[in-house]
Amino acid sequence: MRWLHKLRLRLRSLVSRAQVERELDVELRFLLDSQIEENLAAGMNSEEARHAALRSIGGLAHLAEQCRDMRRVNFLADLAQDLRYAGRMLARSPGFTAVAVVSLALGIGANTAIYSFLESVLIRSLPVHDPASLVTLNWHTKGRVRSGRPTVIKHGNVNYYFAKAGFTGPTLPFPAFELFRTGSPVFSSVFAYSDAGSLNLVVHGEASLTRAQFVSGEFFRGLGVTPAAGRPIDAADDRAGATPVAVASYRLWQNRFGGTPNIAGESILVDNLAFAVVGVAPAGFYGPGSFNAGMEPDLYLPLHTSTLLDASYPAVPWNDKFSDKNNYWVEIMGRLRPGVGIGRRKRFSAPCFNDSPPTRHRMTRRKRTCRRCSSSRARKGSSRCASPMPSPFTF
Amino acid sequence: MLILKTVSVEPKHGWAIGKRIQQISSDVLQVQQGSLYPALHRLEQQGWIKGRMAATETGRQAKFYSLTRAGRAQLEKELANWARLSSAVNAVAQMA
Repeated sequence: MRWLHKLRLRLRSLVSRAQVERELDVELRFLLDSQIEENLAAGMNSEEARHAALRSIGGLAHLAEQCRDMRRVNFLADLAQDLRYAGRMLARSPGFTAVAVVSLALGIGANTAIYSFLESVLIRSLPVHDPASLVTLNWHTKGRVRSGRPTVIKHGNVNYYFAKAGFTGPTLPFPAFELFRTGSPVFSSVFAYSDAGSLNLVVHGEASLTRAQFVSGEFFRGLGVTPAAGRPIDAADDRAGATPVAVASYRLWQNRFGGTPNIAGESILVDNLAFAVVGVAPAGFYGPGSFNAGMEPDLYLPLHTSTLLDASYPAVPWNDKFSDKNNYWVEIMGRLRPGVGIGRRKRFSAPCFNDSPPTRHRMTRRKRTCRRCSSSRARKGSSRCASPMPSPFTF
Repeated sequence: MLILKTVSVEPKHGWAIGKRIQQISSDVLQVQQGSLYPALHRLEQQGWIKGRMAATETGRQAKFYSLTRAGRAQLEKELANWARLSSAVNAVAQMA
């Protein structure tokens, strides 16, 4: 309770200042008079007595100031005085004031901008359920790298990372995804996705270029995302021959569909193919891939519809991307079962998903190397930065 | 500690506190009024003593200080500390 008492005293010193000052004055005057009386009794004349008393006390004003210091009130009074003084000086030189205010404003603004950018890139977690339990799968081969610097080899739209432990990359063939999604003791769910690039979207007769992402049937359920309207893409939609469906982003729903609540069943054209919209992703959802701000996908399509869309380019000889073990095109993300730690992930070993040499791209030197999968934490989504994968774990 | 002990008997004003300490210690301890008053204000701020305006025997207004409950506790603590310290010093000083 002592602090309460102190607070009351200090408030009293501040609020009823005049009262406290009067008391101080009476107190010190009494001291002075007592000292004078003593001096008089010792035989001094009145003038001498008064001077001697003042001398022994060391000045009334000085003593009063010391007493005030002890009350710690002066600090506040001085602060107010200094602030008033600062205000007056600033008002006197408006040019200097303007320069100071503008440079402060710019500095603070730039700082805020940089930190909000870094926050979105480095710190923010995926806006999904329990992002800490998500991992991405990367392939990697054993091998030595002579130069210590990690490099990125671009092949088509796929990046291969040249890390210390060998080659590694985030895209995998579809058969690898099938290997992981059936009955894994480590993952409670596994889902795949692939960037679809910009597609031609027609809504109500109006066409526009729209970023899209192919997602497997487990995608929305695996991320734990509840749609803002309608239903998500599910496993029945992601099959060869299924009716083509699509999930719109919240932004697309607002901009192109006017946020209508009965969006389910709306018909759209994607690259001139008819798709039925079944639902809307929640506001702020941008999927696990990394995108530049504003470039987030606006349309989510089942993985298997990619063959339909590819077919509109008959000039390209497409392999069957769902059975070809050498076609690296999906990114895979898994959600660890509760309690599965790093050690468990290490111990669990899956078969090599591809031991045949890749023939279609440049990395044929690694013919006899077995491609294995590793996983890395994906709390912030999959990373496409040109940095070595964080601590890979072999399956 | 000396101030707390002095006002623990009865409420006193600053002048009397100084004189009392001087008198009890047979003029060994000379209290400077210049340092006594700030000390009084500090002790009041700490909540160990409480000041009240009252009239002296001669009918003059003065500020009388009395010990608070927190002050009493503090006094006991400091007395115990002092006893410990002084007996320790004595023990060393009287070492054969």
